[in-house]
Amino acid sequence: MSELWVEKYQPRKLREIVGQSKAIQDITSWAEGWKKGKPTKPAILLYGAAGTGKSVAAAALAHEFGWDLIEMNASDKRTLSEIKRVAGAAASAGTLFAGAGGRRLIVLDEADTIHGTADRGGYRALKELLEETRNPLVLIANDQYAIPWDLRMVCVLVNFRRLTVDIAIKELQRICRAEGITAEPLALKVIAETAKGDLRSAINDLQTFTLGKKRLTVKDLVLYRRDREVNVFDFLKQLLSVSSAKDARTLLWALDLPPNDALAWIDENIPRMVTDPTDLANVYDAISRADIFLGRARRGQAYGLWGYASDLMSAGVATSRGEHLKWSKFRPPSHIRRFARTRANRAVRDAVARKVAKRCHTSARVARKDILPCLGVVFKHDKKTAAAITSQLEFTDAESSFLKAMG
Amino acid sequence: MVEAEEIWVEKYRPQKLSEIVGQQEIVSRLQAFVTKKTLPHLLFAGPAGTGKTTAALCIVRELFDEGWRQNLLELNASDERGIDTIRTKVKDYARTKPIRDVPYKIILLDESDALTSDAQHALRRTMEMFAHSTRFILDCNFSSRIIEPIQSRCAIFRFRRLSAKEIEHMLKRIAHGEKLTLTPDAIKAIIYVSDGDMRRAINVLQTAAALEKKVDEKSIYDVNAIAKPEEVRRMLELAVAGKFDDARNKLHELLIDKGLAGEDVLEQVHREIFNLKLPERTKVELVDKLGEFSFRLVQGANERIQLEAMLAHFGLIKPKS
Ligand SMILES: Nc1ncnc2c1ncn2[C@@H]1O[C@H](COP(=O)(O)OP(=O)(O)OP(=O)(O)O)[C@@H](O)[C@H]1O
Ligand SMILES: [Mg+2]
Repeated sequence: MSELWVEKYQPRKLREIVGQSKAIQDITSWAEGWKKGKPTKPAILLYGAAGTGKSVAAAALAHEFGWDLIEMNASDKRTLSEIKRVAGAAASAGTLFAGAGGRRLIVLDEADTIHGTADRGGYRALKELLEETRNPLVLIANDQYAIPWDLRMVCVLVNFRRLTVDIAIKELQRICRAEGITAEPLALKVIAETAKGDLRSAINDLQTFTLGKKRLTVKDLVLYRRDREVNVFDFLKQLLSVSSAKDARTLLWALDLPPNDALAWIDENIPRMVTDPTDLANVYDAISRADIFLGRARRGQAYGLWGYASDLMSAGVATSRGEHLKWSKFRPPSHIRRFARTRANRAVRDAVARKVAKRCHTSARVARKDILPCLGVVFKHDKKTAAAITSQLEFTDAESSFLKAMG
Repeated sequence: MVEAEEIWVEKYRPQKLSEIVGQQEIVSRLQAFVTKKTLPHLLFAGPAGTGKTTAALCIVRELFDEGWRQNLLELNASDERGIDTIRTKVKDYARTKPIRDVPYKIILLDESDALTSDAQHALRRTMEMFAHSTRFILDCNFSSRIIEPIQSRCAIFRFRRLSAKEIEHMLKRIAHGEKLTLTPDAIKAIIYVSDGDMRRAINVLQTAAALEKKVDEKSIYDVNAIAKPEEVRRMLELAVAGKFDDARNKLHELLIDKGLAGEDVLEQVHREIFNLKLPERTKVELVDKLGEFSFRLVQGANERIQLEAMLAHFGLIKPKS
């Protein structure tokens, strides 16, 4: 009775993993390749959001192919010597139990968080491991770009997507049936939507909300939305309608966000909806004053100043935004969105810069600022030279198109 | 054998979920966990002094009875909690079998939003791999500081500041237990100074009661070096009315006669502003000014001069006609 459903209903076979058919297909064909010997890409990188099936897929893979599994994760020390010790032997030897033909699957979970100081040399060890290995290697990460580019290059990249609401609902229904629970469809929808594609948290929530019950209704979930969500949207909406300074500041207290994050949300959304230029200037005065106090608090470790920052961003904005508003959809702070969007691009850029830097005996920073723009022009206008440089520096397709787009 | 508990926040810390004041929805869901003996990993988020750790301890006690101490590892903010602690101490504890006849042990991580992100990552797989023998309860102020994969592994509960009524309820419980006379004014004063933080409320009461069994409004403000809100309001009203000399006299009374700290007076002014009859915009402008003076105090400026200057600014306001 004390069992967690995420464990009880954990997929044991690859085909039981839902909503990731493309990923499963890629994993399987890569693994098939290992049957014929070491493939050109000896490792596979499974990346994607939390609770989408990555770790489970690695375990199911080992099980299905009859490979012994050796796992290292962020709870293990992952220095150069440690990785070599644990995986090194495994990497070149066959398994004791499966005979000479059998293999071991080396799983490096949470590979994007190999720690800078505590795990010194971890990535280097991995690279060496990949060169020597006679066994398949799985890397798992939430953020593929946190893994060094030269390591990523020798991996098959497999994306685990956030699960759609429909698929999550289906999975919740399956569990309800197995547990003999009747659930209102809308209730399951609320849970599935709140999970934002994270199936593990959906299943966890289903279990905690049906505890000791055989029925789940929407009523059981009234407080849930408020509970799970940061509900910054509600906060912003109310900030645009309150009129008293006191009410505005209490709104912020109920929001589960540190003041600097709250300010980013306010800054992104409120000014867009203010139409009068004077109001806009006033709103920005409040925002900028809040920002100043946050800066002072941080620099002087004087967190007593947070209170003033909070009041300015809430009451200050509410009392200066005026009444002429043009409503539009709230959205996350753009620097967060932009950062995510341009991240892939920046990763390619950095990879190019590093290759160029090595070749030109300079730093990646200098290469990026001074040499890349020049190469950009070459790649755009002089195909022949571009081809020569590409083969000399071993640019990938993505890298040479990046340069071309730059010029 | 056990030494008498003299610190009231400990002495009156609820031992059972049913004794917790406020946070009803949370408590009733936690009680369901206890009756079913099913516990997911838990993440408790909310301001200080709202019952997070208490709720965690109640759960452990009710689940395990006498065996609770052996099956609980508590890591506080004061402990070293970098990545190495998580990889060694926490992991080693998580992998051992529970003692006595209980299904799992519990690891309670206080102020878990103070864990570095590396340390948080080091926790993820441990939470999964040893879930058959260990459950985690994480306390934090802001859940947004906890990485998504950990949130994914937990049921999340948000604790709220306690209401005036709830604090009053607790104060009366203690007054009864300690045979105190607690005047209604004193209760109001404690509610005012504690700002929804139960721990602070109880501490304030114990401090005042240390002097005398009869606790009234005056003893609360005296002992805690806090000005009466009326006095602060009066001072501000004088300043707004253009009676700078009188306002300044009041200020000196607070700073010199009562010996309050400039920072504390400022904080009280900050709270009172929102209760003054002034245009809403003006209140915000004043808060901005206050912040400025507060910053100067942080930088080591003279508190008397800075607060006097602040009063002068109040004199510039045209009262609402
Ligand atoms: N695609 C899926 N199909 C079926 N079950 C899933 C899927 N994704 C997640 N789950 C459920 O969630 C649990 C956690 O999945 P898993 O450990 O694979 O997540 P993860 O992708 O490794 O997440 P994290 O990045 O947080 O480590 C599984 O035990 C399973 O119950
Ligand atoms: Mg995982």
